[in-house]
Amino acid sequence: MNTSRLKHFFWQILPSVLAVLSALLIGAVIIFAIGENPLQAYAAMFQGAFGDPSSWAETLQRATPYIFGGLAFSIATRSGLFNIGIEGQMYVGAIAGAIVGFSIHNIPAFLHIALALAAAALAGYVWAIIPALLKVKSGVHEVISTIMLNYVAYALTAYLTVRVFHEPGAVAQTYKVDPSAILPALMPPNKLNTGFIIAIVLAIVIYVFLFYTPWGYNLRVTGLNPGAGRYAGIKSTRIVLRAMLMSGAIAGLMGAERSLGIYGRFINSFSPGYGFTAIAVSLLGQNHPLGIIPAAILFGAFENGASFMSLQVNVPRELGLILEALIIVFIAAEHFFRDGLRSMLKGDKS
Amino acid sequence: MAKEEALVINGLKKHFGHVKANDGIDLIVRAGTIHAIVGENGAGKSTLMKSLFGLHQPDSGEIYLWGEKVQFSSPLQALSHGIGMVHQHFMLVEALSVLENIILGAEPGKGILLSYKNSRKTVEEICKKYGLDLDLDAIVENVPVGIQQRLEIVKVLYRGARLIILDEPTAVLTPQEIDRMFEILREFKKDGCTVIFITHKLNEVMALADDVTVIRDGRTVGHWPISEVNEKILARQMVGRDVVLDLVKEDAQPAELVLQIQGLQTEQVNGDQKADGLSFNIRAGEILGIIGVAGNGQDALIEGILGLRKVEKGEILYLGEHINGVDTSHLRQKGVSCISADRLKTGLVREFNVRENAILGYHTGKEFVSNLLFQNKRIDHYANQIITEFQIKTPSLEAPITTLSGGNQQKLIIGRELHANPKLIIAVQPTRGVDIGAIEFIYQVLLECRRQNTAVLLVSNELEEVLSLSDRVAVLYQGRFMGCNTPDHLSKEEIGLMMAGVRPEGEGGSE
Repeated sequence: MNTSRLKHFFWQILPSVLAVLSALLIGAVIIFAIGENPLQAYAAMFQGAFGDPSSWAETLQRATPYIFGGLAFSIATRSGLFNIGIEGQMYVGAIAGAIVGFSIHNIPAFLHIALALAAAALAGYVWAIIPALLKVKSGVHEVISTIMLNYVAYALTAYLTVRVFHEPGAVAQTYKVDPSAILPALMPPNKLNTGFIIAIVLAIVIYVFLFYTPWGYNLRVTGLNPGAGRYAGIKSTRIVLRAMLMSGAIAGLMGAERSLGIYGRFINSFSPGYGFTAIAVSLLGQNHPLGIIPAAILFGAFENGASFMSLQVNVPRELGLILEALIIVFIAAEHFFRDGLRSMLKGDKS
Repeated sequence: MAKEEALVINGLKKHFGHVKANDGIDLIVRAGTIHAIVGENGAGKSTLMKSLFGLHQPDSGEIYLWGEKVQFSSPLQALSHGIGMVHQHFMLVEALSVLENIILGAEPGKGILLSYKNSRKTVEEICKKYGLDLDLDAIVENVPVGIQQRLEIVKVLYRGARLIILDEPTAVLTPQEIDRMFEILREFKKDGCTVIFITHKLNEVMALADDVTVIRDGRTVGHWPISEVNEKILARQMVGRDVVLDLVKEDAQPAELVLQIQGLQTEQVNGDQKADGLSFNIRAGEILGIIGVAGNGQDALIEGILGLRKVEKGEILYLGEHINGVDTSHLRQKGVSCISADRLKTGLVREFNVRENAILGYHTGKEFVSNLLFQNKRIDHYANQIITEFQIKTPSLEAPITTLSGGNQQKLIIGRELHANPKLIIAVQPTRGVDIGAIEFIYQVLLECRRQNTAVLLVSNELEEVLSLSDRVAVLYQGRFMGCNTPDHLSKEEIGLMMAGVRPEGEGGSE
């Protein structure tokens, strides 16, 4: 029983491991091509990402939005949806959290934080209602509707930032949130904050939800084989609707972690594309809540380690992004890794 | 000619990793004969044919065609050597006409222009020669399945095949169509063609073949002239032990009414045949068999009962209660179970393991869930119980369901659906694609249900199955019943005609 579990685990993570190794290999060729020693560069990168507690803190800080975003993506994907609107849901969540953060005063910190997070989750939830209903009621493909809503979210948050809650000055940002709404830092002066803990707890909760409850079971059946679900009495439309809304709510929290934990306000266009990179993170983590954590940390480490590396050896920090991009390419080729390799190693049974 | 050997295969092996799909196949096919190859699912028949047809490269072994050693690297080469194959799943372009499909890939003509005239003439000649009736200008998607298969055969002949391989050709045909097909194959034989006929239906082997080769576990078990064997011997060779398919069936003891259906008419879904005014009753302890060629409203009927398809007209009463539009999950709790037609499409989740699949549809039940969480110990206990009771061969509960054979997958579904002691079982094609051993087991299980006073609705297109299990048989054609009677009062011929839409004279039907 244990060996079969191990075997299953091995086949499950193999494509991800191979994607990372392949990316590192090609990265090494690139480093070599610009005349540096790949081993030296990677060593510097590793040291920059995990060399001491403060580099750990920075790596985890950078990983946090990817954990949230990966979870948001995975829960939608597990139900058979492709939520590419995490970015937009994150933006509305971020600004909703910030608005609660600077509009309410003189209440205890835990209550203020709870309210702000709830507002953020609600905003992401509301933003996901539109594509969810469009999908269920009239069959509009969620990829189209969520992409469009991303642009609406950019515009809406920009409007609110510049026209409604604008803090005087040249920067397109809102007022600062009250100190009581700030997510406490875990290892100051690093910005790593309690949002990271929330993300980890959320990952565990979603793991239990997916694999140990009937609702999670319904959701997985709907995503994997709606036909079988139908005969088993599972109402797929209801499941799909709820999964999309949950996904949106988590994306909203992802935004609040940034606005309440890192910037202390909402900054227009703050995201370098967290919501999109999160898709790669989720795929790298095999859409598994507990796989997403190491995948997110790896991405955080690439970004953090790359800046340190660029100071040590003559390799630009963009290598981190290149590695991420390569992983995305290899993960996109997952079908080759999983099915191709399996049949090469084990043999096609047909 | 007749004494020559059309095809000889010696010690053919093809391994996929650890799986020995073919592990020493010997085959001798005399020219101008009909040669049956029988074996259970997974015995290696398809792999063998793929190797012969150039779709696989065998690991070792030799293939001699008309005495010449060959090794094909593509189907095109096989075709040019006069081998033609009619696949189990047709390879047709639905939007093109019959003629266009026939000449597809072997288009005559100069340059980029097709010359239909000549090819039409050739095709017409072939059809005439073998008495194959085909409307060459019909669009394939409008043509019935039986005719599509005829098209596939003409396609093969058009390419000049002298050795024709047919893979499970009768699965989609009515009894009359099967007879017609056998006549055509005998015509081929007369004409000097050689036919290889792959099947698992032993009665067809006995009726048609000159020689038979039995394959089990990737090896040739033996080959015989048909005069030296009978169905019993072949079944034993296929399975490796004695098989009892003669069912012991006591007289039915029908008790209270379980399902009453009055004038059921379902909503039209896509191009699917809807149920169009069906009425019947099933009592506890009774098996009602519904037979029909696939696509005549079976899905609509089943889904209508299960609350999966909108009922436009009519009444469905389950234990006296109206269940029109009641949720499927609710019906399941009330004792309605369904063994659905397509294991991997509607019965199981391919990516799930045995344990997860064992609770599908019952996963919200109190015995599996408490405090909102799955009680894995209880689920394991239950799953192990099914595995023992239904003799399911699986490495563990954690094993992915796809590592089980079709028969074991089916037994898991049946175990699951019977575990909750249902009052009504809807069994759709319960033995589709499973081996003889599992068929035997499944028949026994269904009869045991009948003994336990369960009402069974058996929907199938296997005539033998329906006739031997059912207490009453209804024939479904285009969403209506053509007739309903006890099996003793129905001949195979009558049923076959009704399946094709011909209402026998003097037959009242049950509508």
